[in-house]
Amino acid sequence: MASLHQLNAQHKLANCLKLLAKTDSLVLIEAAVALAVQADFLQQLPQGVSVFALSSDLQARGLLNNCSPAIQPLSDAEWVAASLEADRVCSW
Amino acid sequence: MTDKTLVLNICGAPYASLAPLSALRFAKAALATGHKIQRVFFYQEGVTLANGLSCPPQDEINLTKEWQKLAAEHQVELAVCVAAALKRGIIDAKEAARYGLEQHNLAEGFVLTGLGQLVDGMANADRTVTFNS
Amino acid sequence: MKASNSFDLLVVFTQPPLTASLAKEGLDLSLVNSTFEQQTGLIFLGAGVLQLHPNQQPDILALKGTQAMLQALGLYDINQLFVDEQALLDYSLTTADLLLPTESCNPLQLQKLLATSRNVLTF
Repeated sequence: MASLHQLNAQHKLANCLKLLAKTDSLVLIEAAVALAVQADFLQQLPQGVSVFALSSDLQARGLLNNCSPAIQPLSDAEWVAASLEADRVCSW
Repeated sequence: MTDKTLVLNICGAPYASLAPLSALRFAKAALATGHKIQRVFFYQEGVTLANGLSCPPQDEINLTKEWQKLAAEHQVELAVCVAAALKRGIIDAKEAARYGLEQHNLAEGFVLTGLGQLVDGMANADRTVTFNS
Repeated sequence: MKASNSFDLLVVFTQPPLTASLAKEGLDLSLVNSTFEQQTGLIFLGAGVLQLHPNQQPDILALKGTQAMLQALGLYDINQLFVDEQALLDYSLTTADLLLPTESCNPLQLQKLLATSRNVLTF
């Protein structure tokens, strides 16, 4: 019963981490894509969490090429598919 | 995985947040991949998207018009929480008459409705996705 | 613990009291959800636990506050309130200090609540 956590701002990460189970996924959208290029971001997550970031949001901010290889960029269509594949979307 | 029914819940204001724009991208991608948007619900600051008097500069995206266009093309219901809207000065002709106001500003294509429409949407759609401020 | 229950909607409060209209709009939705006979669970997460802090006097700021709405939850059959155990520690509170009876949950218990609920909204 995995959730997709949708995070749109860096300052919401602390609360998101409280509910983020190791079987869940996380998608970074809007300004939260800045986390995708932050050095210690991935270490804060439970092991096993799949991390995505919206490709357009990364590209628009000049961050697509700096994105960690452990973070998978998603097209908008893939974002929709990930939202439907999860059992629920938890938007922060 | 096609033909799912989605409800979008937009809680962030246009221009002050990216919520209506992100939700628009999501809606376009969902429709393009064969899914149905049953209802878009506007709650909290999200209700200000339904202000028919907003005039962004011509070289900037007009989010109210973009949503009207998408809703008309794909028969998407644009439901605005009446309590949240009235508090923030978004009002239709009927509510204006009730409150003795001479003006009203609810944009065409949007309807003022109760929170029950969000509850109903969440209960019946395959997936609800919220866009916060 | 009761946290094995499945909710139609989990409402998560994350902000301290009197943060614009956030908590009020989260509670409004919780009450309406319940009138539609949908099972509703509430989580007070992080600074959101302060929503249940006693001795609030919102009228000092000419604000309405949410105390009356919180007291009404029981009338709407919303009796399952969960608080973030770590947040209680962070704010030097115990469940006995809070305005309403709640169940204190560790991270795994909170995550289980999410994993067994149909929908979730954060405020």
